[in-house]
Amino acid sequence: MVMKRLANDWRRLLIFGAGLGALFSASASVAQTPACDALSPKDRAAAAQAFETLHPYDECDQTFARCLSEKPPKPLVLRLASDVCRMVREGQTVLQIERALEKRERSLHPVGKRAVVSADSAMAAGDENAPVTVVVFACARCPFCKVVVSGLYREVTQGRLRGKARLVFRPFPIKDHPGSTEGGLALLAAARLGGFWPYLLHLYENFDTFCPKLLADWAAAVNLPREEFEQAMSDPGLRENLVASKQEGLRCGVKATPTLFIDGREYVYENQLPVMIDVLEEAAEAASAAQDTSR
Amino acid sequence: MNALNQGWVALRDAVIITLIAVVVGLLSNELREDGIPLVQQTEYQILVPCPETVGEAPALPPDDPALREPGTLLIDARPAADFSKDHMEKSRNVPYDYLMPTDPSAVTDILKSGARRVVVIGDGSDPDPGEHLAKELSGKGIRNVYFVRGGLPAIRAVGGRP
Repeated sequence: MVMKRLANDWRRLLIFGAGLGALFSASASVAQTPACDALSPKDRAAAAQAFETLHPYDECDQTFARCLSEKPPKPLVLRLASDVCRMVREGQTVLQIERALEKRERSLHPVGKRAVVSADSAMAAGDENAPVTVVVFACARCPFCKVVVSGLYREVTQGRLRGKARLVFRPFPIKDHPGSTEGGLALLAAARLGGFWPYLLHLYENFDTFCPKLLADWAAAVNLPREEFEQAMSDPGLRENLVASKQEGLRCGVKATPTLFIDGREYVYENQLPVMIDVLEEAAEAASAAQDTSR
Repeated sequence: MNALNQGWVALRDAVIITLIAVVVGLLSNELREDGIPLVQQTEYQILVPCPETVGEAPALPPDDPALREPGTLLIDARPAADFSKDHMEKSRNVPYDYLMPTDPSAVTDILKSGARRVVVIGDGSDPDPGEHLAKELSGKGIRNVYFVRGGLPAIRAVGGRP
Protein backbone atom coordinates (compact mmCIF):
# COMPACT_ATOMS: atom_id res chain seq x y z
CA MET A 1 0.00 0.00 0.00
CA VAL A 2 2.76 2.42 1.03
CA MET A 3 4.85 1.38 -1.96
CA LYS A 4 1.94 1.99 -4.30
CA ARG A 5 1.38 5.50 -2.89
CA LEU A 6 5.09 6.24 -3.20
CA ALA A 7 5.07 5.10 -6.82
CA ASN A 8 2.06 7.30 -7.54
CA ASP A 9 3.75 10.29 -5.92
CA TRP A 10 6.87 9.70 -7.98
CA ARG A 11 4.84 9.46 -11.12
CA ARG A 12 3.07 12.76 -10.36
CA LEU A 13 6.40 14.38 -9.56
CA LEU A 14 7.84 13.16 -12.85
CA ILE A 15 4.85 14.46 -14.84
CA PHE A 16 5.04 17.80 -13.05
CA GLY A 17 8.78 18.02 -13.72
CA ALA A 18 8.33 17.13 -17.38
CA GLY A 19 5.62 19.75 -17.70
CA LEU A 20 7.83 22.37 -16.11
CA GLY A 21 10.70 21.36 -18.37
CA ALA A 22 8.55 21.60 -21.49
CA LEU A 23 7.26 25.00 -20.40
CA PHE A 24 10.79 26.18 -19.71
CA SER A 25 12.18 24.87 -22.98
CA ALA A 26 9.27 26.42 -24.91
CA SER A 27 9.72 29.81 -23.29
CA ALA A 28 13.48 29.58 -23.76
CA SER A 29 13.11 28.54 -27.40
CA VAL A 30 11.09 31.61 -28.33
CA ALA A 31 13.56 33.90 -26.65
CA GLN A 32 16.59 33.17 -28.80
CA THR A 33 16.12 35.48 -31.77
CA PRO A 34 15.47 39.24 -31.84
CA ALA A 35 12.23 38.74 -33.79
CA CYS A 36 10.96 36.31 -31.13
CA ASP A 37 12.19 38.43 -28.22
CA ALA A 38 10.18 41.35 -29.54
CA LEU A 39 6.91 39.41 -29.41
CA SER A 40 4.16 40.24 -26.95
CA PRO A 41 3.49 37.57 -24.25
CA LYS A 42 0.43 36.38 -26.17
CA ASP A 43 2.36 36.05 -29.45
CA ARG A 44 5.20 34.41 -27.58
CA ALA A 45 2.85 31.70 -26.40
CA ALA A 46 1.57 31.28 -29.98
CA ALA A 47 5.16 31.03 -31.26
CA ALA A 48 5.95 28.42 -28.61
CA GLN A 49 2.95 26.43 -29.76
CA ALA A 50 4.11 26.69 -33.38
CA PHE A 51 7.62 25.59 -32.38
CA GLU A 52 6.19 22.50 -30.70
CA THR A 53 4.63 21.24 -33.93
CA LEU A 54 6.64 22.66 -36.85
CA HIS A 55 9.96 21.39 -38.18
CA PRO A 56 12.76 23.29 -39.93
CA TYR A 57 13.24 21.93 -43.44
CA ASP A 58 16.99 21.48 -43.12
CA GLU A 59 19.87 21.07 -40.63
CA CYS A 60 17.72 19.53 -37.86
CA ASP A 61 15.17 16.71 -38.04
CA GLN A 62 13.30 17.55 -34.82
CA THR A 63 10.65 20.13 -34.04
CA PHE A 64 11.73 23.76 -33.75
CA ALA A 65 11.40 23.55 -29.97
CA ARG A 66 13.89 20.68 -29.79
CA CYS A 67 16.20 22.11 -32.46
CA LEU A 68 16.30 25.44 -30.63
CA SER A 69 17.23 23.70 -27.38
CA GLU A 70 20.45 22.41 -28.97
CA LYS A 71 23.56 24.20 -27.72
CA PRO A 72 24.16 26.13 -29.89
CA PRO A 73 21.19 25.91 -32.29
CA LYS A 74 21.99 25.62 -36.00
CA PRO A 75 22.09 29.01 -37.81
CA LEU A 76 19.34 27.98 -40.24
CA VAL A 77 17.10 26.92 -37.35
CA LEU A 78 17.52 30.35 -35.76
CA ARG A 79 16.84 32.06 -39.10
CA LEU A 80 13.68 30.06 -39.69
CA ALA A 81 12.56 30.54 -36.08
CA SER A 82 12.83 34.30 -36.60
CA ASP A 83 10.68 33.94 -39.68
CA VAL A 84 8.12 31.92 -37.73
CA CYS A 85 8.00 34.65 -35.07
CA ARG A 86 7.49 37.27 -37.79
CA MET A 87 4.54 35.32 -39.13
CA VAL A 88 3.11 34.86 -35.63
CA ARG A 89 3.35 38.62 -35.14
CA GLU A 90 1.45 39.07 -38.42
CA GLY A 91 -1.32 36.89 -36.99
CA GLN A 92 -0.80 33.78 -39.13
CA THR A 93 -2.02 30.43 -37.86
CA VAL A 94 0.24 27.40 -37.39
CA LEU A 95 -1.18 25.87 -40.58
CA GLN A 96 -0.51 29.06 -42.56
CA ILE A 97 3.03 29.19 -41.19
CA GLU A 98 3.59 25.56 -42.12
CA ARG A 99 2.45 26.23 -45.71
CA ALA A 100 4.58 29.39 -45.87
CA LEU A 101 7.67 27.46 -44.77
CA GLU A 102 6.97 24.92 -47.50
CA LYS A 103 6.98 27.77 -50.03
CA ARG A 104 10.21 29.10 -48.59
CA GLU A 105 11.74 25.65 -48.97
CA ARG A 106 10.45 25.40 -52.57
CA SER A 107 12.20 28.70 -53.36
CA LEU A 108 15.51 27.19 -52.32
CA HIS A 109 15.17 23.44 -52.85
CA PRO A 110 12.70 22.98 -55.70
CA VAL A 111 11.79 19.79 -57.45
CA GLY A 112 12.58 19.66 -61.18
CA LYS A 113 15.15 21.38 -63.30
CA ARG A 114 16.31 24.96 -62.84
CA ALA A 115 15.30 27.74 -65.19
CA VAL A 116 18.02 28.88 -67.56
CA VAL A 117 18.15 32.67 -67.40
CA SER A 118 20.73 34.68 -69.28
CA ALA A 119 22.71 37.22 -67.30
CA ASP A 120 23.76 40.39 -69.10
CA SER A 121 26.67 41.91 -67.18
CA ALA A 122 25.58 45.41 -68.30
CA MET A 123 22.45 44.95 -66.17
CA ALA A 124 24.16 43.23 -63.23
CA ALA A 125 25.07 44.68 -59.85
CA GLY A 126 27.08 43.39 -56.93
CA ASP A 127 30.09 41.13 -56.64
CA GLU A 128 30.41 38.99 -59.76
CA ASN A 129 32.00 36.22 -57.66
CA ALA A 130 29.14 36.20 -55.18
CA PRO A 131 27.94 32.67 -54.34
CA VAL A 132 24.36 33.44 -55.41
CA THR A 133 22.94 35.08 -58.52
CA VAL A 134 19.45 36.50 -58.32
CA VAL A 135 17.77 37.39 -61.58
CA VAL A 136 14.78 39.69 -61.36
CA PHE A 137 12.27 40.02 -64.19
CA ALA A 138 10.75 43.45 -63.73
CA CYS A 139 8.77 46.12 -65.52
CA ALA A 140 9.79 49.77 -65.67
CA ARG A 141 6.20 50.74 -64.82
CA CYS A 142 5.47 48.28 -62.03
CA PRO A 143 5.25 50.04 -58.64
CA PHE A 144 6.25 46.97 -56.66
CA CYS A 145 9.31 46.45 -58.91
CA LYS A 146 10.39 49.93 -57.91
CA VAL A 147 10.48 48.86 -54.26
CA VAL A 148 12.01 45.41 -54.78
CA VAL A 149 14.63 46.19 -57.42
CA SER A 150 15.85 49.40 -55.75
CA GLY A 151 15.95 47.62 -52.39
CA LEU A 152 17.83 44.60 -53.71
CA TYR A 153 20.30 46.85 -55.52
CA ARG A 154 21.00 48.68 -52.25
CA GLU A 155 21.49 45.39 -50.45
CA VAL A 156 23.85 43.77 -52.99
CA THR A 157 25.98 46.89 -53.35
CA GLN A 158 26.22 48.15 -49.79
CA GLY A 159 23.92 46.16 -47.52
CA ARG A 160 23.55 42.71 -46.01
CA LEU A 161 23.87 40.96 -49.38
CA ARG A 162 27.13 42.63 -50.37
CA GLY A 163 29.54 39.95 -51.54
CA LYS A 164 26.83 37.33 -51.03
CA ALA A 165 24.51 37.89 -54.00
CA ARG A 166 24.74 39.31 -57.50
CA LEU A 167 21.65 40.98 -58.90
CA VAL A 168 20.78 40.74 -62.59
CA PHE A 169 17.90 42.70 -64.10
CA ARG A 170 15.82 41.39 -67.01
CA PRO A 171 13.16 43.66 -68.50
CA PHE A 172 9.68 42.15 -68.64
CA PRO A 173 7.25 44.85 -69.80
CA ILE A 174 3.71 44.25 -68.58
CA LYS A 175 1.34 44.96 -71.47
CA ASP A 176 -1.30 46.63 -69.32
CA HIS A 177 1.15 49.20 -67.97
CA PRO A 178 1.14 52.29 -70.19
CA GLY A 179 4.71 53.21 -71.08
CA SER A 180 6.13 49.80 -70.16
CA THR A 181 7.57 49.23 -73.64
CA GLU A 182 9.12 52.72 -73.81
CA GLY A 183 10.47 52.25 -70.29
CA GLY A 184 11.90 48.84 -71.19
CA LEU A 185 13.56 50.23 -74.32
CA ALA A 186 15.02 53.11 -72.31
CA LEU A 187 16.53 50.66 -69.83
CA LEU A 188 18.13 48.65 -72.63
CA ALA A 189 19.42 51.86 -74.23
CA ALA A 190 20.95 52.90 -70.92
CA ALA A 191 22.51 49.44 -70.57
CA ARG A 192 23.98 49.76 -74.05
CA LEU A 193 25.57 53.06 -73.03
CA GLY A 194 26.95 51.62 -69.81
CA GLY A 195 24.69 53.50 -67.42
CA PHE A 196 21.99 50.97 -66.65
CA TRP A 197 21.80 51.14 -62.84
CA PRO A 198 21.98 54.92 -62.41
CA TYR A 199 19.30 55.22 -65.08
CA LEU A 200 17.06 52.54 -63.59
CA LEU A 201 17.29 54.02 -60.10
CA HIS A 202 16.56 57.49 -61.49
CA LEU A 203 13.58 56.11 -63.42
CA TYR A 204 12.18 54.42 -60.31
CA GLU A 205 12.84 57.50 -58.14
CA ASN A 206 10.76 59.54 -60.58
CA PHE A 207 8.18 56.79 -61.00
CA ASP A 208 5.14 59.01 -60.45
CA THR A 209 6.21 61.60 -63.01
CA PHE A 210 6.98 59.02 -65.72
CA CYS A 211 6.33 60.18 -69.26
CA PRO A 212 7.95 58.74 -72.43
CA LYS A 213 8.96 62.29 -73.43
CA LEU A 214 11.10 62.57 -70.29
CA LEU A 215 13.17 59.44 -70.92
CA ALA A 216 15.92 61.27 -72.83
CA ASP A 217 15.99 64.04 -70.19
CA TRP A 218 16.49 61.44 -67.53
CA ALA A 219 19.35 59.91 -69.54
CA ALA A 220 21.03 63.32 -69.57
CA ALA A 221 20.33 63.69 -65.84
CA VAL A 222 22.45 60.60 -65.13
CA ASN A 223 25.22 61.79 -67.50
CA LEU A 224 24.40 59.57 -70.47
CA PRO A 225 24.94 61.14 -73.91
CA ARG A 226 21.48 62.31 -74.90
CA GLU A 227 21.85 61.92 -78.69
CA GLU A 228 23.31 58.43 -78.45
CA PHE A 229 20.53 57.49 -76.07
CA GLU A 230 17.88 58.71 -78.51
CA GLN A 231 19.60 56.88 -81.38
CA ALA A 232 19.66 53.68 -79.36
CA MET A 233 15.99 54.10 -78.49
CA SER A 234 15.04 54.19 -82.16
CA ASP A 235 17.14 51.15 -83.07
CA PRO A 236 14.85 48.25 -84.12
CA GLY A 237 17.43 45.85 -82.69
CA LEU A 238 16.71 47.21 -79.24
CA ARG A 239 13.05 46.25 -79.56
CA GLU A 240 14.09 42.76 -80.63
CA ASN A 241 16.24 42.52 -77.51
CA LEU A 242 13.29 43.60 -75.37
CA VAL A 243 11.04 41.00 -77.00
CA ALA A 244 13.76 38.37 -76.46
CA SER A 245 13.94 39.30 -72.78
CA LYS A 246 10.19 38.99 -72.39
CA GLN A 247 10.16 35.67 -74.27
CA GLU A 248 12.86 34.38 -71.95
CA GLY A 249 10.71 35.36 -68.99
CA LEU A 250 7.68 33.57 -70.45
CA ARG A 251 9.80 30.46 -71.09
CA CYS A 252 10.80 30.53 -67.42
CA GLY A 253 7.15 30.80 -66.40
CA VAL A 254 7.07 34.47 -65.41
CA LYS A 255 3.46 35.62 -65.05
CA ALA A 256 3.91 38.79 -63.01
CA THR A 257 6.55 41.27 -62.03
CA PRO A 258 8.75 41.25 -60.09
CA THR A 259 9.65 37.56 -60.38
CA LEU A 260 12.93 36.46 -58.85
CA PHE A 261 15.08 33.47 -59.75
CA ILE A 262 17.67 32.50 -57.16
CA ASP A 263 20.32 30.53 -59.07
CA GLY A 264 17.62 29.46 -61.52
CA ARG A 265 15.02 28.62 -58.84
CA GLU A 266 11.86 30.68 -58.89
CA TYR A 267 11.23 32.54 -55.66
CA VAL A 268 7.69 31.66 -54.61
CA TYR A 269 7.79 32.88 -51.01
CA GLU A 270 6.49 36.10 -49.48
CA ASN A 271 6.57 39.41 -51.31
CA GLN A 272 8.27 41.44 -48.62
CA LEU A 273 11.71 42.86 -49.24
CA PRO A 274 13.13 41.96 -45.79
CA VAL A 275 11.94 38.38 -46.27
CA MET A 276 13.46 38.23 -49.76
CA ILE A 277 16.76 39.46 -48.34
CA ASP A 278 16.60 36.86 -45.57
CA VAL A 279 16.00 34.06 -48.10
CA LEU A 280 18.86 35.31 -50.27
CA GLU A 281 21.14 35.32 -47.24
CA GLU A 282 20.11 31.74 -46.56
CA ALA A 283 20.82 30.80 -50.19
CA ALA A 284 24.23 32.48 -50.01
CA GLU A 285 25.13 30.65 -46.80
CA ALA A 286 24.04 27.32 -48.29
CA ALA A 287 26.00 27.99 -51.49
CA SER A 288 29.12 28.99 -49.55
CA ALA A 289 28.84 25.88 -47.36
CA ALA A 290 28.47 23.71 -50.48
CA GLN A 291 31.56 25.35 -52.01
CA ASP A 292 33.55 24.74 -48.82
CA THR A 293 32.49 21.08 -48.77
CA SER A 294 33.49 20.54 -52.40
CA ARG A 295 36.97 21.98 -51.80
CA MET B 1 -45.88 69.86 -36.43
CA ASN B 2 -45.23 67.39 -33.68
CA ALA B 3 -43.73 64.91 -36.16
CA LEU B 4 -41.45 67.62 -37.57
CA ASN B 5 -40.30 68.45 -34.07
CA GLN B 6 -39.59 64.81 -33.35
CA GLY B 7 -37.60 64.59 -36.59
CA TRP B 8 -35.43 67.54 -35.59
CA VAL B 9 -34.82 66.05 -32.15
CA ALA B 10 -33.78 62.73 -33.71
CA LEU B 11 -31.44 64.52 -36.12
CA ARG B 12 -29.94 66.59 -33.31
CA ASP B 13 -29.39 63.46 -31.22
CA ALA B 14 -27.78 61.68 -34.17
CA VAL B 15 -25.38 64.59 -34.72
CA ILE B 16 -24.52 64.72 -31.02
CA ILE B 17 -23.90 60.95 -30.85
CA THR B 18 -21.75 61.11 -34.01
CA LEU B 19 -19.70 63.97 -32.60
CA ILE B 20 -19.21 62.15 -29.29
CA ALA B 21 -18.16 58.99 -31.17
CA VAL B 22 -15.66 60.99 -33.26
CA VAL B 23 -14.19 62.68 -30.18
CA VAL B 24 -13.92 59.36 -28.32
CA GLY B 25 -12.33 57.73 -31.36
CA LEU B 26 -9.77 60.51 -31.84
CA LEU B 27 -8.95 60.61 -28.14
CA SER B 28 -8.48 56.87 -27.82
CA ASN B 29 -6.35 56.88 -30.99
CA GLU B 30 -4.17 59.61 -29.51
CA LEU B 31 -3.80 57.72 -26.23
CA ARG B 32 -2.85 54.43 -27.92
CA GLU B 33 0.85 53.82 -28.46
CA ASP B 34 0.16 52.20 -31.82
CA GLY B 35 -2.43 54.79 -32.84
CA ILE B 36 -3.12 55.31 -36.53
CA PRO B 37 -1.47 58.49 -37.93
CA LEU B 38 -4.20 60.81 -39.21
CA VAL B 39 -1.90 62.08 -41.93
CA GLN B 40 0.21 59.48 -43.78
CA GLN B 41 3.81 60.01 -42.67
CA THR B 42 5.60 57.70 -45.08
CA GLU B 43 5.44 57.36 -48.84
CA TYR B 44 2.55 55.20 -49.97
CA GLN B 45 3.82 52.07 -51.63
CA ILE B 46 2.11 49.36 -53.62
CA LEU B 47 3.49 46.06 -52.43
CA VAL B 48 1.78 43.56 -54.70
CA PRO B 49 3.18 42.07 -57.90
CA CYS B 50 1.82 43.24 -61.24
CA PRO B 51 0.38 40.35 -63.25
CA GLU B 52 -0.08 40.21 -66.99
CA THR B 53 -3.84 40.11 -67.64
CA VAL B 54 -4.34 36.63 -68.99
CA GLY B 55 -7.01 33.99 -68.66
CA GLU B 56 -7.29 30.26 -69.04
CA ALA B 57 -6.84 28.81 -72.52
CA PRO B 58 -6.62 25.02 -72.76
CA ALA B 59 -4.43 23.34 -75.38
CA LEU B 60 -5.95 21.29 -78.19
CA PRO B 61 -4.11 18.51 -80.03
CA PRO B 62 -3.32 19.43 -83.67
CA ASP B 63 -5.70 16.75 -85.01
CA ASP B 64 -8.64 17.80 -82.83
CA PRO B 65 -11.89 17.64 -84.85
CA ALA B 66 -12.94 20.96 -83.25
CA LEU B 67 -10.56 22.72 -85.65
CA ARG B 68 -12.88 21.83 -88.56
CA GLU B 69 -16.24 22.32 -86.90
CA PRO B 70 -18.45 25.08 -88.35
CA GLY B 71 -18.74 27.06 -85.09
CA THR B 72 -14.98 27.35 -84.70
CA LEU B 73 -13.17 30.60 -85.47
CA LEU B 74 -9.52 30.03 -86.36
CA ILE B 75 -7.12 32.81 -85.41
CA ASP B 76 -3.54 32.79 -86.65
CA ALA B 77 -1.22 34.54 -84.18
CA ARG B 78 1.89 34.48 -86.38
CA PRO B 79 3.38 37.57 -88.06
CA ALA B 80 1.59 38.79 -91.20
CA ALA B 81 4.53 37.74 -93.43
CA ASP B 82 4.33 34.14 -92.23
CA PHE B 83 0.54 34.18 -92.52
CA SER B 84 0.69 35.29 -96.15
CA LYS B 85 2.98 32.37 -97.00
CA ASP B 86 0.86 29.66 -95.41
CA HIS B 87 -2.20 29.48 -93.22
CA MET B 88 -5.25 27.40 -92.44
CA GLU B 89 -8.29 27.92 -94.62
CA LYS B 90 -10.74 30.53 -93.22
CA SER B 91 -8.30 31.56 -90.50
CA ARG B 92 -7.91 35.24 -89.56
CA ASN B 93 -4.55 36.81 -88.91
CA VAL B 94 -4.20 38.59 -85.55
CA PRO B 95 -0.41 38.86 -85.10
CA TYR B 96 0.62 38.54 -81.47
CA ASP B 97 2.86 41.24 -80.09
CA TYR B 98 4.84 40.38 -76.97
CA LEU B 99 5.02 44.03 -75.91
CA MET B 100 1.81 45.76 -76.96
CA PRO B 101 -1.78 44.74 -76.16
CA THR B 102 -3.80 43.19 -78.99
CA ASP B 103 -5.66 45.73 -81.10
CA PRO B 104 -9.07 46.27 -79.42
CA SER B 105 -10.81 46.28 -82.81
CA ALA B 106 -9.51 42.76 -83.48
CA VAL B 107 -10.90 41.66 -80.12
CA THR B 108 -14.24 43.29 -80.93
CA ASP B 109 -14.33 41.51 -84.31
CA ILE B 110 -13.81 38.17 -82.60
CA LEU B 111 -16.58 38.96 -80.13
CA LYS B 112 -18.91 39.96 -82.95
CA SER B 113 -18.12 36.84 -84.99
CA GLY B 114 -20.57 34.80 -82.91
CA ALA B 115 -18.22 31.82 -82.98
CA ARG B 116 -18.90 29.12 -80.42
CA ARG B 117 -15.21 28.40 -80.06
CA VAL B 118 -12.03 30.35 -80.81
CA VAL B 119 -8.91 28.36 -81.64
CA VAL B 120 -5.60 30.22 -81.87
CA ILE B 121 -2.77 28.85 -83.98
CA GLY B 122 0.83 29.86 -83.39
CA ASP B 123 4.15 28.69 -84.76
CA GLY B 124 4.73 26.10 -82.04
CA SER B 125 7.87 27.79 -80.79
CA ASP B 126 8.71 28.28 -77.12
CA PRO B 127 7.10 30.58 -76.14
CA ASP B 128 4.28 30.03 -78.62
CA PRO B 129 2.53 33.22 -79.77
CA GLY B 130 -0.64 31.14 -80.29
CA GLU B 131 -0.75 30.12 -76.65
CA HIS B 132 -0.10 33.64 -75.40
CA LEU B 133 -2.63 35.26 -77.72
CA ALA B 134 -5.24 32.70 -76.63
CA LYS B 135 -4.54 33.54 -72.97
CA GLU B 136 -4.69 37.26 -73.67
CA LEU B 137 -8.02 36.93 -75.48
CA SER B 138 -9.35 34.85 -72.62
CA GLY B 139 -8.17 37.52 -70.19
CA LYS B 140 -10.10 40.09 -72.21
CA GLY B 141 -13.32 38.19 -71.62
CA ILE B 142 -13.62 35.97 -74.69
CA ARG B 143 -14.89 32.55 -73.68
CA ASN B 144 -14.04 29.11 -75.09
CA VAL B 145 -10.60 30.10 -76.32
CA TYR B 146 -8.09 27.35 -77.08
CA PHE B 147 -4.70 27.10 -78.70
CA VAL B 148 -3.22 24.32 -80.81
CA ARG B 149 -0.36 22.52 -79.15
CA GLY B 150 2.61 22.75 -81.53
CA GLY B 151 0.94 25.39 -83.71
CA LEU B 152 0.73 25.27 -87.50
CA PRO B 153 3.77 22.96 -87.95
CA ALA B 154 2.03 20.37 -85.77
CA ILE B 155 -1.20 20.69 -87.79
CA ARG B 156 0.79 20.19 -90.99
CA ALA B 157 2.59 17.20 -89.49
CA VAL B 158 -0.71 15.41 -88.84
CA GLY B 159 -1.91 16.19 -92.35
CA GLY B 160 -4.00 19.25 -91.62
CA ARG B 161 -5.19 20.90 -94.81
CA PRO B 162 -4.36 24.53 -95.55
